Amino acid sequence: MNVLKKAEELGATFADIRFLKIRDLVLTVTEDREIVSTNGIDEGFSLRVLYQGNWGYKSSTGEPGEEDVKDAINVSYGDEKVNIVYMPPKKDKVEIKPKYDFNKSIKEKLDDLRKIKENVFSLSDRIKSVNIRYYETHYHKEYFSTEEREIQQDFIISGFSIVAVARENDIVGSAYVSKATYQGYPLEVFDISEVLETLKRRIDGQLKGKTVKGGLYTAILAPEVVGVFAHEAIGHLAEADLAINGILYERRGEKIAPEFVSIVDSPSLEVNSAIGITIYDDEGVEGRDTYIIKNGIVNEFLTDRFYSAYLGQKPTGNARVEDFRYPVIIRMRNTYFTSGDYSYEEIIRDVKNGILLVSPRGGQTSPDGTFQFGIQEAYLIENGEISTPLRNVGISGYTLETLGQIKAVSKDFKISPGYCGKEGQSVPVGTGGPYIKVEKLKVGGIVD
Amino acid sequence: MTDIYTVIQRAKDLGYSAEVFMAELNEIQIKREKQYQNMHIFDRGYGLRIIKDGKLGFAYGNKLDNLLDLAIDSLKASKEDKFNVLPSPEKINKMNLKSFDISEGEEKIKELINYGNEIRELVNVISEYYDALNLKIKIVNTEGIDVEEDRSLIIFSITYNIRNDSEISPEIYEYKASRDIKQLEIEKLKDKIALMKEIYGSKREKLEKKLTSVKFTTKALAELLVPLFSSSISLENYYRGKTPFKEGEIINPNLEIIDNPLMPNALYSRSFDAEGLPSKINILIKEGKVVKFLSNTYWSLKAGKENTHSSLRSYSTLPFISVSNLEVNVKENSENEIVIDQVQGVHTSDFDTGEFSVVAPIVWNEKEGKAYREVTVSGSLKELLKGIEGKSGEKELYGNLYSPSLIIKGVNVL
Repeated sequence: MNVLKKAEELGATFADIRFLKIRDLVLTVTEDREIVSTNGIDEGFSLRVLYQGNWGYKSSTGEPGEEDVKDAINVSYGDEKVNIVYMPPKKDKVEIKPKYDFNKSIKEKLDDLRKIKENVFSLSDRIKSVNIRYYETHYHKEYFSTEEREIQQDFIISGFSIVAVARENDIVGSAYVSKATYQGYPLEVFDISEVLETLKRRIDGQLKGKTVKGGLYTAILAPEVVGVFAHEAIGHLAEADLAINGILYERRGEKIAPEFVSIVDSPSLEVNSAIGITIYDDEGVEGRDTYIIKNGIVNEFLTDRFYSAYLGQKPTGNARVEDFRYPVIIRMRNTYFTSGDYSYEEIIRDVKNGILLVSPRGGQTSPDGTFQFGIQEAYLIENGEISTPLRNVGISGYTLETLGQIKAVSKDFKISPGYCGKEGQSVPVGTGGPYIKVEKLKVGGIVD
Repeated sequence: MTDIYTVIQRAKDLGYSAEVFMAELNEIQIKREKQYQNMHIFDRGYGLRIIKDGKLGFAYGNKLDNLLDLAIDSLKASKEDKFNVLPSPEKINKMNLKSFDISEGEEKIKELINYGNEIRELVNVISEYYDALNLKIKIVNTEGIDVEEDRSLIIFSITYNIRNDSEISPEIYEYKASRDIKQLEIEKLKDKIALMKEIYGSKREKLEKKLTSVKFTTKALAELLVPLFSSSISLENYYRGKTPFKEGEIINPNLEIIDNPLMPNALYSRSFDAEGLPSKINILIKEGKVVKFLSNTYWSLKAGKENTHSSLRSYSTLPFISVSNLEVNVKENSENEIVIDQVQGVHTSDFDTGEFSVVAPIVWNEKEGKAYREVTVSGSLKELLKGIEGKSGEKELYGNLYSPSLIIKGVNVL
């Protein structure tokens, strides 16, 4: 690769270049529209040099040349303290072939979406609007470094989401279901009738649901919520760039949860929705399973080349980017609680007055250990039975306190897809785990 | 190599109405954490929209070659819709939105890094972010629109926390942006940081009781009010029943909200929108009443309402409705000692109903000089606006919000 040689000639101690070609298709079907929202190809490169102890990047939609090397060197100022882990030479090609082909035309795909729309409206005459968004993103990535690493990866992430808004008298309810996979045409990978049932249940819950009185509750977190908790409340705190200013760093080796609690970030899982698949990361590093918490003890952090060197930790393969326009930062892949010994029935039956949290509306965390999630599907639990649906529940708390309050973990296990935002970059991730029982979880209702 | 005008002509020859949207970005970004991550970015791309017999086709790419074929594929699959129309030209009064070249921006960043170093002596800085960019937008269509604008923007943001004897404060985030390199108002930041240092110098306390009224700073309003209001004031969402607002509804007689893309130096100032139509100042809430929803060509035709010229887009997307800069005017003055300065988790809100339940990590008592922990704020957009009792202090520009701090009752703060 000529530009890498040029970088070395100009004094770079390390250089790498990422080429990315994304073939993108987005279709949108609403109550009365059917459009191709996006259809195109995004193509560019990101050249990175380590020059006099500083990083400099040049990213462009053009072809790389000598001027780009000079541009990268020109912006490589800083405190000359960058030290990284170097990797041995390697050549590899990874192609993740879909199990279900994308061999339908755009029109046929829109036809499939139209049928789903009709089925959504047949769920209830209270549904007034629907938004179905389908996407498929074909990735072709090439990575080259001055270490003589040459890695090529091809894979496809695709998915769909359905948002329905229903109205009953003056009450408006809004619910969504989203699915994504790396295993092929998502309308065949997933059972659409199951998706529609879930949507109906959520709409009904929003329209009939009661608001909950704010306070501390025994909560059963279902796998979707457990996944967001694993991702937001723990995973982000374990990303080494955030960890060094957060609450986990100084607790490495310390027990912060019961011994039946383990949390893992994994580069690949044989599960449809584990879309955080990252066989090699965007620094050309092989991914490995990383136990953030192992048997209740803070074990290790997620790293890139810089933080592996900084922490003296074996590389984990967590350096990722949205595309060539961004610097490489530490991101999760598929993050989950490992499963335990209890059945779902055993977990729920002795809850006298609690809340079952089924599906999140998103979440956020801070390095000081506070987290906040919105919940779109939740139910009261009374005397071990699921009773009234609740609407617009929010939960919040301190991660360490909440981890300490985990009382049971179920055998069930499920991964859900998501897109994680950090520093303006969005990457596909998987999140999940079993059902988990937590005591004294702070629930903030809409009305006190 | 194919150029924009060739693509437009070729589309026209094939009987399509066509529009090319081009964006060309030249940007220097410096991110400083434990390591510096410095980038020089050059990004050029094109979005091609074509229409024939009410059918819409779209394609995008970093090159113009083959875009028309891709757009025709999209069009063939699309549903006929008589409101798919490209706009015709209207007179534009050009603003001066480029105040510096990228090389000057790079020099300014180096100056700002020194300022960041000074802040590092005051508090524990977690990250600094510097960004200088030049953006060229060009829109050409077969109906006669041919507009072009150069814009500049400089951004400085800093995230820090404060350690006292017993705890670390939540992360505090400060942000300044301006189109004009000379108008980046960072001088007051040190005063704010000194105030935070004083307040978070002691251990935070728990709120003892639910509060009935609090002061939201411009920054907190930019984080909470702007995203919820932006979604709710879209004509698309109004037409589709996805907003809590009704036209003509009185929200709060004390309140006026204006969408102003012509505000000099603000984040979303522009001479024309993303369909090439002249920017307009739109009064959305007048004397407390919802008088207008923001629209673009498609939704104004479909809903039979005024086109407010409020399209936004990148080259990889179709135009969509968006607020530009929001200006909030409140008649009465008021005060409250409990200040909310930062909220998190707004993206978990229900944007169709306006209901939210968020965490407010940065809350303090102005009078007693103490900070609070574990504060949650819940309610709805309407309750938030209805509950505005008055303003406090002068208007400030934070992101795309130009507003004073507001005293608000009627949301749950506990």
